[in-house]
Amino acid sequence: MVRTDTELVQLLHNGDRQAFADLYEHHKAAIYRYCLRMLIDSNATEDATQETFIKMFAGIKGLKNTESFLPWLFSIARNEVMMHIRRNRRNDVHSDENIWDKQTPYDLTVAAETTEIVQRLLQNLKSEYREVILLREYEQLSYTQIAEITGDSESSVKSRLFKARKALTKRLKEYYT
Amino acid sequence: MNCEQYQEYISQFIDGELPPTVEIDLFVHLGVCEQCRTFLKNVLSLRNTLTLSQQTTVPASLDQRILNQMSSNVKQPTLQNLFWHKGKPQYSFRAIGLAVIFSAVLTSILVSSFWHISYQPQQTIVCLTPLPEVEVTGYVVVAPSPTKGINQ
Repeated sequence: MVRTDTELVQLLHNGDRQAFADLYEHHKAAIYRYCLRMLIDSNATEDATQETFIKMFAGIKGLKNTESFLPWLFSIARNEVMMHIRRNRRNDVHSDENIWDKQTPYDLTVAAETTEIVQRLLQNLKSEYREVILLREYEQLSYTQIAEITGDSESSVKSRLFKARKALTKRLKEYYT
Repeated sequence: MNCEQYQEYISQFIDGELPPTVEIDLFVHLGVCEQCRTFLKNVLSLRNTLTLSQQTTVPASLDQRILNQMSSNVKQPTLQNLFWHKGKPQYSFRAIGLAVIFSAVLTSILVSSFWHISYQPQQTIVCLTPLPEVEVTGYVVVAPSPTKGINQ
């Protein structure tokens, strides 16, 4: 029988350890994917994913609204990711668009496939722009959910998504012309 | 309204977040603006490319790490964590109950010790015959002989 997140969270509140295992199985890929796209480094990704689920277990009793479980889980992952980024942030000079984290993208001549190119460009976005793209395009979260995770307003989420998409499509077009 | 605004609408439209009334306005504009049509095409193409690269496998070693960590998070009851939790005293019923029992035992020991010191058994003397009169001369008490009185 496949249980919903709400049911599993209720069971976990009552100390059902199998409920934790089920929640982990349901969401480990999404959390891992998000952390990997944000952090790039696989070791850091594993650490962030592990910490996310440990803190999820430790803090589950504090979650009152079980309907908000997924945004809450992503918020925990986001905190782990941001802590890592802040620890490792370099003082790069920002481009005039203020979208890119690096002055020049990764060596695009090495990447033959468009997919690879897009991934490299995504990695070069500033974290706050990369994040909204990941949560929208990979996890199909709504603007409301993304706003809840990032702590921003919905209008900020809309604006950031638009700017990130525009920057990526423009850079892709420059590469191919 | 300029193309920049319509392109923002395009971004919301592909996410299904554009109000229906604004959608109509956007479609009318797309009918006459090639630049915005190109933007729509590019953003949809970007989405397809991102979707293609979505496959990510969680390493099995990570599964094991997390499940092992959760197993070790289950605390075995020890004397320390009966009363302490994260460096703070845990005022559990166990601690309070033990304190009450200890106090009761100590109190009973103290009370019984005190009772033993102050307890003096009383002796009762029963006389079956009246006591004879005695004569006290200075420090001498003259008791009559059993068969005679004092003045005899």
